[in-house]
Order: sequence, then C-alpha cells, then structure tokens
Amino acid sequence: MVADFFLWWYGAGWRRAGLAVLVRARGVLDTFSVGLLARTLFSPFRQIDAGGVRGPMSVQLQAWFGRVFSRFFGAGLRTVMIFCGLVGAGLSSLFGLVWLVLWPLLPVLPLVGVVAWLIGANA
Amino acid sequence: MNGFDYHAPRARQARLGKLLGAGWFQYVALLSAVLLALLSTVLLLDNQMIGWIVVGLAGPLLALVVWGQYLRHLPRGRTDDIADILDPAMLARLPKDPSPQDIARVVMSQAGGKFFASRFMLGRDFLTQIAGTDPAGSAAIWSRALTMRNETGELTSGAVAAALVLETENVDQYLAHVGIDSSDMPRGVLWLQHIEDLIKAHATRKKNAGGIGRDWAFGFTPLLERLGHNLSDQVAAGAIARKLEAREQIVDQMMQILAQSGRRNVTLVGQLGSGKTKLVHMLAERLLDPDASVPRGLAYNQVIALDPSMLISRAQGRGQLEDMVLRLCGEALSAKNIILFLDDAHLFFEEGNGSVDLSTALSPFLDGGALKIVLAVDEQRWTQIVQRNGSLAQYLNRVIVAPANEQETQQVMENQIILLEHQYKTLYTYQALKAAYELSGRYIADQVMPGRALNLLESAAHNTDNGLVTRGSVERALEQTRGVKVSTANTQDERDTLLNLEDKIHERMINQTHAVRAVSDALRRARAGVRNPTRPIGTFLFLGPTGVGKTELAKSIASVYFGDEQSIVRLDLNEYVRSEDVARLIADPAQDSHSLTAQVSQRPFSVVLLDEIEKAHPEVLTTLLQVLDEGILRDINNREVSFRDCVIIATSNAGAERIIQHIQAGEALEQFEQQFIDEMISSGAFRPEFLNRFDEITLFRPLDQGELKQVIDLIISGINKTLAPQKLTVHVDEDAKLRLVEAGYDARLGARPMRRIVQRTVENIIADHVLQQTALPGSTISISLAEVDAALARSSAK
Repeated sequence: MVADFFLWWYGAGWRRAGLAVLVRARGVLDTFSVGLLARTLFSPFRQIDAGGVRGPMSVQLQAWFGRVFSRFFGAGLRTVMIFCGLVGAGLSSLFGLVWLVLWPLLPVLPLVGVVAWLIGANA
Repeated sequence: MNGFDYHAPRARQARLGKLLGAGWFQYVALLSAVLLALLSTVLLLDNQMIGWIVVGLAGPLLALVVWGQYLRHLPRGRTDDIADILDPAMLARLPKDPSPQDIARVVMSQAGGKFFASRFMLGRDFLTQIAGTDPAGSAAIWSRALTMRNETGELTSGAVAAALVLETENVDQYLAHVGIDSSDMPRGVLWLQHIEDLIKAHATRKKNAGGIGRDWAFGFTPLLERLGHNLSDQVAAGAIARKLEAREQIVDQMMQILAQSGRRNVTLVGQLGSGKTKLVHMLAERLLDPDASVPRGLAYNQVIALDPSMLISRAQGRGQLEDMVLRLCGEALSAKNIILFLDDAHLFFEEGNGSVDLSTALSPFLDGGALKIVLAVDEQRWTQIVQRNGSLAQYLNRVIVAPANEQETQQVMENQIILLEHQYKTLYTYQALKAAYELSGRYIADQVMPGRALNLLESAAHNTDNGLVTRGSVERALEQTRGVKVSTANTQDERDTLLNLEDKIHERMINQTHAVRAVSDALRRARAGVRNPTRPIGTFLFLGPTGVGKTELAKSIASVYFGDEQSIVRLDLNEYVRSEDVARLIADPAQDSHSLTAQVSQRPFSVVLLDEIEKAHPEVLTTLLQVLDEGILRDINNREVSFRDCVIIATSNAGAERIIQHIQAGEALEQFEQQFIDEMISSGAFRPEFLNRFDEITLFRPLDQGELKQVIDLIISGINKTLAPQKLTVHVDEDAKLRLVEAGYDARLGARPMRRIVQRTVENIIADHVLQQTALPGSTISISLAEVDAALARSSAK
C-alpha cells in the first residue's frame, strides 16, 4: 500500500496536479474573456447603431465619430480587462508552480524537518 | 477473470479510499495539518528548532488528504477484471467471496439499488430477499453485469443491480407484478447512467460561459429585452439536456444555415409536439458552450424568442405592429449576436383572427440574409403558407422536424422529468414513462411524439400515488383529460357491473339475448385487457325489422358501459348516399363539428351508431372499412382519429321481411341465421368483404305480444321515475296493459308505437289527475282497463 502511494504521488498524482494548475490558469483567462477580447480588441463597444446609419452627411459623420470613439473606448477597456486576466492567470500559475515544487517534498517532509531540526539545534 | 478478486490492488485502494476519502477523515487531517503548520510557525519564531519536526508532520497529512480524494473516485484499472472496472464505492464495501446476497446488500446501499427500488417500484428489500446465499451464484451475476457496462467500460452499481434481478429464478414473474419485463432492466441502467452524467455535467458546468467581456463587442438590445424571452439565459439557468443524436444533426443543420453568407433563416416545420421549440433550446445551449463544431460567428450568440400573439395583442393596429416588429428586427441585426426565434410564425404570415400578415415587411429581413432568425410552424400551416405566398416560401430554408421514435422519446422524457419532479415535488417511475409513451401514442392524436407523451406525464403529476407517478397516475390523467377508460377493471363495483352486463342491459331492453350476450362478451374482453388493442372494442352489425331494440341496445351500452346515454355518436347513413359525402364523413372539425371524425375526436370513448348502413354509398362503406379493420380513420387534414376505444354498431333493416317470414314459420334465429346472411350477400345488399369486417352479425327478431307487454312495463317504470320528484306513483292494471299492447301492435313497426300509445293514454290520464288535484303527493294513481279504453276512444275521436 505504501508503494502504491509513492508510485501514485511521484507519477500520475504529480501529473494530475500539474494539469490542474493549467486548468485553473485557463479558467481565469476564460473568466476574463481574454481570448475573446483580444480577438475583438478594436470592435465598437456595445453600441446600438453598429450596423450602419443612413442620412445626411452630418449624421453619418457623427455616427462615424461615434464609432471611432466607441472603438477606442472599447479597446481601452478591453486592454484593462485582458491585463487583469493575464495577471490573475499569472498569479494562479505562480501559486500552482509553488505547489508543484512542494509536491515531492510533502511525503518526506518529516525527514526534512528532522534534518532541519538537527542543523538548527547544532547551529 | 470473471469473478471478484478481493486482494486486487484496486480493491485494496478502494477500501483504503473509503477511509481516507471519508468526509470526517479529510476534515480532521486538513485541520491537523493547518494547526501543525501554525504551531511550527510560532515555535520557529520563538527560535525553538523543534518547530521543524512539527511542520514535517503536516506534510504527510496533507499528502493523505490529496490521495484520499483520488482514491474516493478511483478511475478504472487497465484490465477488464471486476476489481478493475467496478464502481469504487461498491468495491470498497464488498467482502471476500461475496454471495449474491452480499452483493445485493452492497448494491442497496448505492445509487443503483436505490434507483431500481424506487423508479422500478421493486422495493427496498426486494434484492436482498431474492438473492441467494451461495457464493458460487455470484459468477453468473458478474457475468451478466459485464454485458451492461457503460461507455467507458466501467461497471456501475446500476448494472450490478440489474444483473442481480435478471439472474433471479422466475424473474419475469417477479417483474410482471410491477408491470415490467426483463428487457426494461438494461434501459434502467442507461437511465441511471444518464442521471449520473447530468449530475457530473452540472457540477463541472461553467458558471459564466464566455466570461465577463462576452457581449462587449455586441450592441445593446433594450427593446428585445423588454418584449422577448432570452432562451439562452433560461438554458444557462436550467439543467443540461442529454444529447440526442437525431436532434443534434438538426441543430448542426440549423447552425450551418445561420452561419452561411446567404439567407440566414431556418424554418422548422413539424407537427405539433414534434419538439421544434426544444430544438431551439438545444441550439441556444450549444452556442452558450461552443465546441469546435460551432461556427465562430455563432459562438455565444443569444437566442431571443418573440411571441407573435403577444406582440399582436400589444400593438394598437397594424401600423404599430409593423413598426414594432421592424424595430425588433433592426435591433437584433445591429446587435450582431442575436438569433430571433418566432414560434407559431404563421401568425405573422396570414390574415385572420389573432394573426396579421407581415410577410411584406419581413421579406427584406428574410431574403436579405443579414438577420439570423428561426421560425417554427406546423406542417399544415406551412402548406398554407406555400400555397398562399410561394415567393415567401422560397426565401425560407425549411428544416423538417420528424416525430421522435420510441428511444428518443424515452430519452426526452428522462430529461424532462427532472424538471417536473422538481416542480411538482414528486418521483416518476419507469412504468409511468412507459405508459405515457404507449397510451399517448394510442389516445392522443392531435400531437406527435415526444410532445404528447410529455404532456401526459405532466398531467399525471396531479394524480400521484403516495408521491409517486405510476402507470396508474398516467392512466387516470388520461381518463380525466380525454374521457377514455384505459385501466383494467379494478374496483369491485366495476367488476360486478361487467360480470352482470346482460342483466343491466335487460333492465332497459326486452329479450334479444343473443345480441346482448355477443356485445357483453366483447365489452368484458376489453375491460379485462384481452382484446386486440389495434381494433375497436367491438364491431357489430345488427340486422332486423324496425322497433325490435337495435338502437335501444346501442343506447344501453352507452349508458351501462360508457356511463352516459349521451356517449353515443350517431350517424344516419341515409344522409351519405353520394360519393361526395365521404368528405362530410371526414371533414375538418373546425368547419363541420358533426363529421364522424370530429365527433369521435371529441368522444373517443363511445358507441358509434351507424344507422341504416345499407343505404350508404359504396365509397362511404369503403371508407368505413378502415375503421372496422384498424380502428383508425384519417380526417381531411390527414390527422389520425382513433376509434379503438369505441364500440361500433351498424344497423340495417335490410331483409327484415325475410326475418319476419322465418320467425312466422316457427324457426328460431340460430336456425336461419347463416342462410339469411348468405341471402343478403347474394341479393347484393352487402358485399362479403364488408360483412367479414364485423366481429358479430346479429339478427334481431320481431317482438311477440308478451314481449311488447314487457316493453309497456319498461315505459311505465320510466314514467314512475319521472314522477318520483312529485312523490307520485302510477299503477296500470294487467288487463289494461294487454289492451295497450293490442292497440299499439304493428308487426312492421315492432315496439316503436308503444311509447306513443302509452303517451296518449297513461300519461294523459296522469296529467288529468295532477291538474284536477285528485292525485296528491304520496298517492298512487291506479289506471284501469276502462280508463285506458276511454282514453283510447278520446284519442281516436281526435
């Protein structure tokens, strides 16, 4: 049974833990719609007349300016959101990596503790 | 290996997982690890090196927590041995060399056993009671269970429960008690698997599909939000539905059309109940959680349903409606992520009560291709649209939605009852689902599958048996909503009525014992569940002179069997003497509510009386042949109308003179019956193929004077019932009755003049007594021969 545990812990278990880190990071990116926002970075932002406006030149010009503003406003907001998503995914990955580094140590942590105690006591 | 190996590594791990994965262990170990970590921090801050040892202890505890979580949900092993594929929760609980009873005990503690106990009504102790105690019997159970493994090759507790049942001796006898058979058990395994898959899918479902910025590139839709129903939001909040292969293909087709560059409209054409609206929900679900098969332009699109009848009722006049619809379409077009859905779309393509023809206004949107729109219409309406406006039909991309087959309907019901159970706080049994499919297919003709089965299931939720929706609940729901009797006779009163049908009928009918027995036998067969369900309950041809009780017998059946004398659909076929009259027979109920199909649709459980059948045109008779044969008649709209719960009685006077001659020659009916029928065929009165369609051809003989006196008794008894509220009774002397028979007797008209003669004499005498106040409440009016004679003289003088 002990062998079963160590086999799993340093084999399939570690792989699963690595996969879980990736899934979590991807989940953060999805929550912030990072892929979707990057694809539509310069699309107009939620405006009702996105389909085009008919009328005199002044109205069309006004609509054009409106769309340009909407695009820039949207790009700014999307950039902020993409940044937040990337930071969130980065932090999640970082914590995940720490966990993955600690992973092999957990079962043998008592030994590590004893060694550290001996070193500390003799220091 | 075809047995259970207690010492297999996966079995050992499962047993350990039962301990390490238990909630209490996880909680205690995690809490201890955290406390140890905190304690070590305090110690180390205090420069006490023992803190390193303390923190070291937390590591293995944490590792055990993680391993325990894994062990609790052990994946299947590499081999096909029982220990490598069995559900880990079961594996952890099985003893060494388990007997069938040990397996049953473990199964009953798991989802599989509980599922079959409740959904199949097998009861909690059923498996443990039927399972044997000899471990040698387990091999057969494992072997049977292996044939019901799931798609990933795992052996679930449901498969083992089903195997335990199927490996029981006399299994069919056991299962018959609860109204199922062996072939239903594997279906149950699939149903349980489906429920477990739904639970897993629900747990892993993304809460916010597409993320925070999903809709930022699309326009606002304030008007659509106000006047439409967002199906995508509904789907996101609801349960995940099972993928039905045939339906998914239609959804793929819809997505292809909606993503193409041309006319991006889909017109779903299918009969009522075929699941057109459900398909749109499925489309909304696919778009919310897009996989590789969803075109990029459709991912995360919102499906918004518009209710044409609501829009029509909101608008004040045609102009406002047109304006409103154009604004809605314009908004959907501008927003770019909207798919409009118009259910009952025909309401926008025809002028009429509650509908407005907006085809001219909508054509640019439908033809232009920019607007993504799904329309749903039923087949009949589609035909009308094509006939009326061919150019509009050309713009529309038609997708046919066929009725669901049995397997699909079963799956749709399994999906839907999750919502119904939540809504009505009840539990549906497998038997209820089976009955809903079977009975709705037979009795609900105005819809197709799966809609008709689902509607019946929902109605059944109001007729539960101790919180369970059973076959009985479905039968009662059908009886209440459709006025049919589908359950077998189960009350003592009902059984008594059926066993004594002849006596009940003779309470209102004199003699004709042969005919009465033939009809009674057919009705008893029907209610005992031994009749052919694909034909009418009984088909009879009554032959005989006028006034011998043919119509009276039909009325008696309606009253005694169908519970009401009004449960009779009567057609005088002397009004159907031309070939064109066939159309009147099967006319649209909306245009002619007196057509045969319309009346039987309204009263599917009744006596159909076809009077004077010999006078009908041969084409009318040919149309009726189908009814006699299959119990089905298609109306002018090609909708099936079922006659399978009707008693069909055709009457005819053809050959009445011959019957009278035979009887007057002193012959009994049985002696000349066959000869008479042969004469009818050879004389051309009836075609042999028509006569052969009837279950029974029954001859009625003329009534003699003694029987006519009994008819008088029945009529007087009827008068007494009428007088009962006035607390009056009438008594007619025997010689007076004989006088009435004598006065009313006419060999050609049988008993028919008797009612008239009683009316002219007895009823007139009573009326005089009442008006002269010589008959007071509580008294009996006695009528003598002299009074009858006087009344007869008075009536003939008039």
